[in-house]
Amino acid sequence: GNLVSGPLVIQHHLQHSLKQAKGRILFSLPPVVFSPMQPLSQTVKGLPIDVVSGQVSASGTLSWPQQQGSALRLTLSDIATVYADSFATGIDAKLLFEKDSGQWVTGEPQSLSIQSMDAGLPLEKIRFSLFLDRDMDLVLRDFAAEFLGGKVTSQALTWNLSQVKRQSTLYAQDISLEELARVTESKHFEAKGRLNLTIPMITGPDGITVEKGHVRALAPGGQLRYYGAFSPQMLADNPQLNLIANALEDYLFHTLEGNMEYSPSGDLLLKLQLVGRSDSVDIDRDLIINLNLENNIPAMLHSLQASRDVAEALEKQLDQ
Amino acid sequence: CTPTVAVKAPTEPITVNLNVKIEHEIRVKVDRDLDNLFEGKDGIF
Amino acid sequence: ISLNAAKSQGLVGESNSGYIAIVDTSSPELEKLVKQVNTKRKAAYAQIAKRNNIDIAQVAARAAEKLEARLSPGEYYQDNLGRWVQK
Repeated sequence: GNLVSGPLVIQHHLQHSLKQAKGRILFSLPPVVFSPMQPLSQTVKGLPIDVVSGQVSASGTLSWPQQQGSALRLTLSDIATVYADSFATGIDAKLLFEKDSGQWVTGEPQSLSIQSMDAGLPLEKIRFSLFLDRDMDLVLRDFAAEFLGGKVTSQALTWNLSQVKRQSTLYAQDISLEELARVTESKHFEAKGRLNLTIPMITGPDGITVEKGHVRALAPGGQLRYYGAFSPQMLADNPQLNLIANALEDYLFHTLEGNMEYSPSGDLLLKLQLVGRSDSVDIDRDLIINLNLENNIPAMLHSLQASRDVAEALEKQLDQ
Repeated sequence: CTPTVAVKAPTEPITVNLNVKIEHEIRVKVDRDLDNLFEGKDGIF
Repeated sequence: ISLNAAKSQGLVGESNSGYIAIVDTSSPELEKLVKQVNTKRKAAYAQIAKRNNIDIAQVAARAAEKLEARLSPGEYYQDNLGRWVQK
């Protein structure tokens, strides 16, 4: 028989033997195409996430009573999703979930790729294979993506769906300060140089925590320019601020190193030491800057998304 | 001979300690607007 | 019944979306209060959203965070999983 709800047509075939009270239902969902004019939210209301492009097809068997042998096959092609003010495009995956003692798990590795994801800062060419196991560990294995001119990778990013704490390590290589300054449209600020980061993460019921992450600039170092942010009145009777303003006007560093902390509230704390020189302070002497930098990531991402037309950015992605 | 004292410019590095908290402009303005709203007398907060 | 009375008696609480919601048993009077308060709140959020040209959902979400912090002990709010919690 058919179950029809908007574009979703579900053909199903019911087999139920009353004697042993065992049964199976085979169902298949022929490919459904979504578009901005006909998104998922038109048919299925109340989901926090919407599918606005691409094609989904699914098939599976549900068997009872013990549900052993139940399986769900999901094929996503070129899907685009919107979640609050973030979006992802070009999602391709062939996923197979099987029921194993009451839990949905993935049999063998399920490769998944996402062309781009934008929550304020763009993440591109995302590749990983998806694992969901009996202890409800959702694992993104062999994770790789391009970010700010560099690469972000991890052997395994683990998130436990039943609120158990899990540890993962994320590595970032060649992250360009110039690209970061450009994308965050920061006024008064210019930067050159590339960073490597090692980020030990703990995922848990209250979110993501990072302790003792490590940051280091690649040789030969780079440049920081922070100018025009201090008004004359501020500088007037403040020698320390004058020194800082001069130092940051054109600071060349050969060493940048330090560590980072990140808490579920979204506050990122960087404790960095930079060693370099600023000709406007002293040509012959090194200038060491001990920088404590605090930045709330969700607030930053919100501001970035708020300062541009996200719908237009999504359309541009879809037209590619 | 007379000891010659060469006045050499100090060479040890200058150290600057800098604490920076990035406040996101949109967030600050919205926060102020909400605070004013909450102080309002119309009893909806 | 006033909003403050309903809140202090734990009849309504601050939901995690920036609006108020009935905590437990409903009543026509509570329904009316919730509808009235939320309509006015929505209009106020929309104004702030327009002035800062951001989405109303962002204003409401930020309001939820601030409103939760403003609650007096004993009043109710929703945690991020939507469960009612007493401050």
